[in-house]
Amino acid sequence: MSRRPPSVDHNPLAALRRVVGSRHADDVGGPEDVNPSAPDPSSTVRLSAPVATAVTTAVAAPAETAAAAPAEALADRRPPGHLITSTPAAQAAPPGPVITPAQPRPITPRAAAGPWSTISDAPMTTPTWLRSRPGREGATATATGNSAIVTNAEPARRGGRTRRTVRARLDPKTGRRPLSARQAMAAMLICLSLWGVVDAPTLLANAESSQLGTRRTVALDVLRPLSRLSAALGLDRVDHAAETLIGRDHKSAPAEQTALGFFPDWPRGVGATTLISPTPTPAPINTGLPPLPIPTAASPLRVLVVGDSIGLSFGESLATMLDATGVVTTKVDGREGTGLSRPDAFDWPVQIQNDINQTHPELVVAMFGGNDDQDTYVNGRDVPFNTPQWDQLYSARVAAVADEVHAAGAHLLWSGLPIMRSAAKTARFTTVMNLTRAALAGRDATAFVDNYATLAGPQGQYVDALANASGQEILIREPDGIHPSPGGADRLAAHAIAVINATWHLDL
Amino acid sequence: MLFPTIDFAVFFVVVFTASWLLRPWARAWKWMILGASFFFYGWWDWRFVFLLGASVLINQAGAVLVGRLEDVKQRRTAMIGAVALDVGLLGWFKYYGFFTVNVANGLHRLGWGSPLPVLQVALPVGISFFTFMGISYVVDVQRRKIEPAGWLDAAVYLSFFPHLVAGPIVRGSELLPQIRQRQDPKRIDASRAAWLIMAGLAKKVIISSFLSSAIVDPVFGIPHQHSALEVLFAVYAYAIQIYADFSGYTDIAIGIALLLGFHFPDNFNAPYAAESMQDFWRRWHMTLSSWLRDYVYIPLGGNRGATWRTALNIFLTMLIAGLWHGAAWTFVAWGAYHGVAQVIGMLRRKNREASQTSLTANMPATPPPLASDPGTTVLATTDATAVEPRSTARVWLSRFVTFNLVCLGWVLFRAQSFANAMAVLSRLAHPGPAPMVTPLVIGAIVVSIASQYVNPRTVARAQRRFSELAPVAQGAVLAGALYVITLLGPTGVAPFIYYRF
Repeated sequence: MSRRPPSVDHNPLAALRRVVGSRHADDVGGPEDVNPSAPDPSSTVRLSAPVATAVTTAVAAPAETAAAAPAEALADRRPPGHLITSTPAAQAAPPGPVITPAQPRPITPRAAAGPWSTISDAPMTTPTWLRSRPGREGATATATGNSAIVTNAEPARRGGRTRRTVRARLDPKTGRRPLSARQAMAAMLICLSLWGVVDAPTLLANAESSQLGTRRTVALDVLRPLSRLSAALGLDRVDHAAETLIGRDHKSAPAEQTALGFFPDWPRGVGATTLISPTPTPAPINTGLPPLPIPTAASPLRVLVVGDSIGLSFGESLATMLDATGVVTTKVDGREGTGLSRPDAFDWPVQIQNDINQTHPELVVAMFGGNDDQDTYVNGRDVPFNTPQWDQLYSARVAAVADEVHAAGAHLLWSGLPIMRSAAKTARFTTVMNLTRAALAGRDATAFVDNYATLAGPQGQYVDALANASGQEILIREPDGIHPSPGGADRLAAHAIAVINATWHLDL
Repeated sequence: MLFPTIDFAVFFVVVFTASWLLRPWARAWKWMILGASFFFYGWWDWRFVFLLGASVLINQAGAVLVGRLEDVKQRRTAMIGAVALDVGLLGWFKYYGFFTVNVANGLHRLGWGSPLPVLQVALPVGISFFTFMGISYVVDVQRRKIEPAGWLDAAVYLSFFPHLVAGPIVRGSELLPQIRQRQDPKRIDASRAAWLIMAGLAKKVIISSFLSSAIVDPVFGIPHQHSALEVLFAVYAYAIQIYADFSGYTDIAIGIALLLGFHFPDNFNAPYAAESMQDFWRRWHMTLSSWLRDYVYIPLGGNRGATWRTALNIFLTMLIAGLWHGAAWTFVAWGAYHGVAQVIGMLRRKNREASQTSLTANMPATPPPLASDPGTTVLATTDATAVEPRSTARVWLSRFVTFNLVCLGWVLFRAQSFANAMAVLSRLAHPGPAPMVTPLVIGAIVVSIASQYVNPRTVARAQRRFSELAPVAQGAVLAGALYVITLLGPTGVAPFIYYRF
């Protein structure tokens, strides 16, 4: 947050004081003082070296960076104590008096220039390699009029990249080592590849539960070999162990195999049409449930609302209205992007059972279908939307939810979807709703709320706003033309309460 | 496409490669990045590509026209025309439904019918951001701060995919020069970019998603079913959620731009460490704050007039800031709330300055302050309180009060309606059990707030240490970080909050 005034860095004496006063760039307001968000054009001079032999580095550091790499290469070939000169002319000059830390040579500050910096009254040159390493003592610069001798310096390491080399490549503005595009690409690919292999089991499970189509097919084609590689390397165990560590269950198998027992004997290699018999006409089902009691404050009606994102906003409005009666307690479990089409993505029957076990509802209100106009996936097979096989599967899933609710001793209200802005979407949802209505037909303790017209205009057309009882226009849809706005959700909830009252002879 | 998706990862690897390969050929590079940006935008809905194209055309045509005109009045008229078209587009897509329903209800009260059909228009992603950038571009040309760019440069500037969806709002003076120059392919600040991207992903995928589903959505959805403690922590959690969500997005955007060699301005600076409401707006969504200062507050007159006029200008600016965030009265109320807070802060500061002036009247004269932009007093200058020595306890008290005042504003921001906001606030008087306030929720909130106080030097030092690793090692470390993020995050990641603005 703090930012040193740039003027400090423009002043070599100030820089000198900072360097002398500390042993490490971290302590002298080094690059981290710079706001890392953007390059600071005002601070053109930055100390790139972590540590410097006081006099030389303080003056030389800014300009040395550009020549850091050549200087390093040079350093590796020179023994300690070797005479270093900056220019061919300087090489011929005799050595001058030695400067020791105890007797620092007076320096006239001036901005450094060139790869090897000089000062005006003593054109001393100090190549980067003369700088001592952080925390190391002993490297002493011996300067002459135009040359420098290093004494007692630690021998430079031969071969390999030293920490000093890395530091020498630091960006003077940021203090960080930049990468080339090629290196950055390598790091990026290594990152994605390693992550992809380790996380392959989870990624594959997610891809399998994604919407059927080209994207999913491509993802599976890529992830299956990765997953096999992960298993071959034993990395899938790492993934499983990590998920177990954080208390997450592994991806469960599709609901058809675990929760409801749909088509448990679906053999591979056999077409769907040979397995699913034509839908029988639903016979009346008597659940044997007693009628809902008249709720009181002492014995309130327990209501559970489950559904997708549309069901969630509807459920919140319904809960607010029902709870306001004082004789109902409502719990809402809404999950965005879910439905009954893809139990491999989210297993609602299992979730509803969990909710029932927790809340012991007397009435369950369900609202599904908003994400169900898609192909489904059963035991490794795609079942296209709006085919006889799909219709039968979906009907069976609706019926199974109803059976589950009734088996728990609860009544069921199924709230249908309203009209959509897109005519094509409306047609697809009409298919889903017709199947739902048919699957629930003939059951007692069950009601289906047809909401097609609940949010429609006077001529049955799609509208974004409707007038309330006092004539005020209320926005009833979100801009996407699919989800109800809070005003629309209130309207759906009010309609549902009216149906509850009519069906179960209540006065909520 | 959203940043934290596999789709984007694949897209970016391709664009990164093409970008650095084509960088030596400026024209080819610009066409490539333009195509990639439109592809990125069209991933949501290809039809909105035409909207983005229209926005580019309007602003560039306006900038060229303004740039060619010499007469001041004509320049101003041309600028107003372009800005009006920008605002018209934004108004149609974002505010039409809100506007017409209120007009209809206003006329209904008078016994009249509405001449306009009430309907909701599909909201294109990020329209608020690229509209504001377009306005700043034309106005800057009119103010002669920048020259009109070439058509291709302007198109790349306005549609550059890292900032396209949710900012930061980058000025022409910041980005156009970078588009014109060729970045050095050997000097990519990859360590900072990696840090920003990973931090952004962690904020979005772990913190924001977790708090959203664990406590925020349930409590704001049905507030009357929750106790005071749950509501209080839900409000705090929402403050963290929206910060993690939005700053996470901009962190990723800045990091991605950095990998392509571009420097974006910072957008957040530890906003929950603010010591006053004014300080908060210097730290929160900084590119929007400075945009509002330069293109709303100063044109309104800034602080050049009387105190009441300055206060009005501040209030109106914040009101517009509120409306910018969404087409609902709750957002307007949120803007008004912050406007009042800013005005109070301004008046307090003036009082303090007046009292200090009277106290120091007999002291030796100090050099006069440097001339500054007339609009900078409110939204950008250093708070006078910052120069007063204050006890540590008082500083922390200021931070605590500011954080809670900001959180109070967030209730209006998050609520679906005023009734919903009142329901949330009224539950603060209903003590009871709080099963949703789990140690994990508390931990996420505390850690997030504590992160505001991490010394930037520590972060810079970590970035520097990381940069010293070999690229292979960097990739391995990043893979580990990515794995942890995906492990701790939910399966599906909800869209960013701000991209809908």
